[in-house]
Amino acid sequence: MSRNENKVKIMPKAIVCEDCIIQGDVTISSGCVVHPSAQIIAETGPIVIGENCIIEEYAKIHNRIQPESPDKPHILTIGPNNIFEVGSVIEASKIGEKNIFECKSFVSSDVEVSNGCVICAGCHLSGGQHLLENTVIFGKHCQQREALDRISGSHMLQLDFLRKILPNYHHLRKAKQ
Amino acid sequence: MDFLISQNYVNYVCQCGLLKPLTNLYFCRHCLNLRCSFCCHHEVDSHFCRNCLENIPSSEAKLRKNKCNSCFDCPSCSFSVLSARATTIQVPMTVKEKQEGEESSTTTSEASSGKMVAKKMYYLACLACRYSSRDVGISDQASQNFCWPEQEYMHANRFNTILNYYQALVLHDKQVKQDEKRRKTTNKSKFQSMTDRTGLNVSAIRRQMGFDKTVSKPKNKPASILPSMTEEVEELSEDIFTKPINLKNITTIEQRFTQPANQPESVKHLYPQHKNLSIKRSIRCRHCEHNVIKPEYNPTSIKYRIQQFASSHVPEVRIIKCYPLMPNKSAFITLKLTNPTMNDMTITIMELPTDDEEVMMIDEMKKNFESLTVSSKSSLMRPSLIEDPRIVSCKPTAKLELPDSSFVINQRDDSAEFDDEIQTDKKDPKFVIWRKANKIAIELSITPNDLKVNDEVIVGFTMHYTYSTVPSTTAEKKDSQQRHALNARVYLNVGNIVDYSTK
Amino acid sequence: MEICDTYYSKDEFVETASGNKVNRQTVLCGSQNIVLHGKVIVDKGAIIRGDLANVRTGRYCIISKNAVIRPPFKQFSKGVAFFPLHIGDHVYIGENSVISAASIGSYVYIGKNAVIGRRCVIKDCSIIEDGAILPPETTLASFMKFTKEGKIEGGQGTESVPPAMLDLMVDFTKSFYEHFIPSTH
Repeated sequence: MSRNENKVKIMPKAIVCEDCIIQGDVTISSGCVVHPSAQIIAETGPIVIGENCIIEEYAKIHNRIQPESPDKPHILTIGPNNIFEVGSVIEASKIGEKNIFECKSFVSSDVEVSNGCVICAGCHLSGGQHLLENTVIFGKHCQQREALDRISGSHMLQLDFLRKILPNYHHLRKAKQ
Repeated sequence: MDFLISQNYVNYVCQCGLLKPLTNLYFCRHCLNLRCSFCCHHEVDSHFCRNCLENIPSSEAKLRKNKCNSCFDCPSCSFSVLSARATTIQVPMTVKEKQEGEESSTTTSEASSGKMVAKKMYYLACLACRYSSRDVGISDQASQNFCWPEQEYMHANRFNTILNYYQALVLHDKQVKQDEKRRKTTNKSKFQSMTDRTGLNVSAIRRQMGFDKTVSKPKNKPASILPSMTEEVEELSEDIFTKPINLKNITTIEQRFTQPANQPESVKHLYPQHKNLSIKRSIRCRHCEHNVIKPEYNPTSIKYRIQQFASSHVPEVRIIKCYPLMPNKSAFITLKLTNPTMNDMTITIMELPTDDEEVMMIDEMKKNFESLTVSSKSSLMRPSLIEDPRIVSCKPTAKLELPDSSFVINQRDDSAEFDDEIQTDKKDPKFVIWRKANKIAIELSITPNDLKVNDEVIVGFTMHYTYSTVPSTTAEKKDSQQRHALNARVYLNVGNIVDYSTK
Repeated sequence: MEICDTYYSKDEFVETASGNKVNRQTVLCGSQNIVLHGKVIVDKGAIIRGDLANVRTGRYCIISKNAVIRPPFKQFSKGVAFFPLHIGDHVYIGENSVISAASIGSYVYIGKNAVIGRRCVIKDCSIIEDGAILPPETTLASFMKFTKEGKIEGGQGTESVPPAMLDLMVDFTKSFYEHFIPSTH
């Protein structure tokens, strides 16, 4: 475990609360905010999280895709500006940018998420597929629709606020590369 | 409390013969019977919008077709409400600027007080599925209230003509019927006016005049409307079977049914829908016409003006624990009984009536009721509205060993809540385990019938209890504190037969 | 059905003077901004984000395992503000639920695995079923029930919410508290 812990790379200006669980080869880029009790587990291969992502409480990002050959593990790359809300479980193979994974959503390991998608609260997404840009998955039956108009806007303001507030209340993990 | 764990273990028999948990039953103070929502009148007290919680007078509600003016349902996901969002945009807008405008978007309710009113434009957005009124081409509005363009639907004219036609037809029929009646009665009245010359003459003249009036009116049937056109139906295009469809652009059945007038096929026609209103209702006993429930008008209020919950009049039975159940072997169950009233209760646990007795009970109830309706003619109620009592559908599958004596439960005393000690009265019969303020725990023995593993074990008993009416008005005070002996039939689902082979 | 006794180990829970019982394995961020008004149970793994904004609960609230109480935020053109979250008396919050409401009234039952979106307003005497998901900014009026299917049903006098919801929740939360006892006894 301690060897694994050493592999965690936190870039400067990222805010990572101390009591979250980060295991394996995880890279957290600058500008990210990781809330307490979040889990990032790089089980079978590294996880690279892009800039300005928010990972909330009980969110779990898990790379458990079995690599084709042991010396070439699958790297879960997550683009910038994603939000992983409370209790979401993400095992996707690849994630683009500006996606929102709402509370208690689930994305299985054979799904590839492009850009600007929203997985609404409680939606489960499994089965091999590639989500097109701006897809919204919503409702009890996980219907799909295409958002013509992005209303979620930017979450930069929220990030600014969290960057100001969180250091006052939490012990943070130090940046190390 | 059963409902909180989503299964009913203890059910009471309503007067109409349905089994309901105590929490869903009412107690009519005047008939001294249990009532449920099935055997009572439901009356609409007031209309309100459950989103903005605004009270809407019933006349206005009718005018607005029972929909709220200011709240909209999302047509795409149907379970969420659209909220107005504001954008601050500069006037001639290019696509690029539009996006920038959205990035600074905020919701309105508080933001509307800002000073940039002139520049603020509003649109409706669903926060669940990200539907927005821009998706279907509704332009942004300068004010967030009430001015959203109403959706036009194609059959509106047709519906109006049909409606007008039938209204005219009803009117016409009524007139014809009235005229016939008059024609019949005039002869009679003429005859009467010959015998009696006082008041009837005038009325006869009046009637005559009225008759004349109707004669002058044209009695033509309203011009019948044309049946809807059976236009040539277009042939299906060939590519309908071959063209791949994009499911994202096609509406679901549910989405279509939320817009019954239009039933759009494409998501491009999903317009915001006005929210349906909700009601507050009062519930009235059908036998004595007294209210058992009457809520306050205020939509946010949870208070009642009249509340006759069974749970505050009838002793509540709860299962504390039950030993493993095996067929033909006796087991103990522990029950807790609570007295919710301000008077001591004497309780006797008795056998359930047999089938024949139950039929007799029902007959007697019907008879009683018939005599009641004959005697009180002023009553508005119609016997047909009264639900016939039925035989309880649930049959017990275990035998209960009845306790040999009755027992008393103390009255409710709110201050006793802070007493912690459990009193055991020596005079109590053996089956009483403990008592605590207005609660008592008893232990009874049950013997399940010859059942299979995992079969449900149901026991039932009639609970005979004393009930004292509390005088509510001064007129009643004369015979205050009347004591009644009432019965409640209780069915307990005590669990399933365990598989003793594994034990 | 009478509520069963729930036993807890005395080492795991802290009991305050006002009768709050808080598990040591909870995450109470910004505890100076959290007010529990007495006889509140906060079970293992629950998170209350007092650091984002004030959180206030009434008496006899039960916050079950792994529930997350998280004040909602609102985005304005000039920045983001988190709003305080108020919870009334006699409220039950089930396991693994996520609460981001603006306010929750009294006598409310929230099942397990429920998600209450940002800035929802839950009025008194309402029920949220297990696994129900309330979209943001939903208002749930009194005596209404939000079902798993995403429908709002009920109203006063129907059977989805018992008419005596008030008494029922008072009874339920009180006896839950009374039956929540240390295992040493």
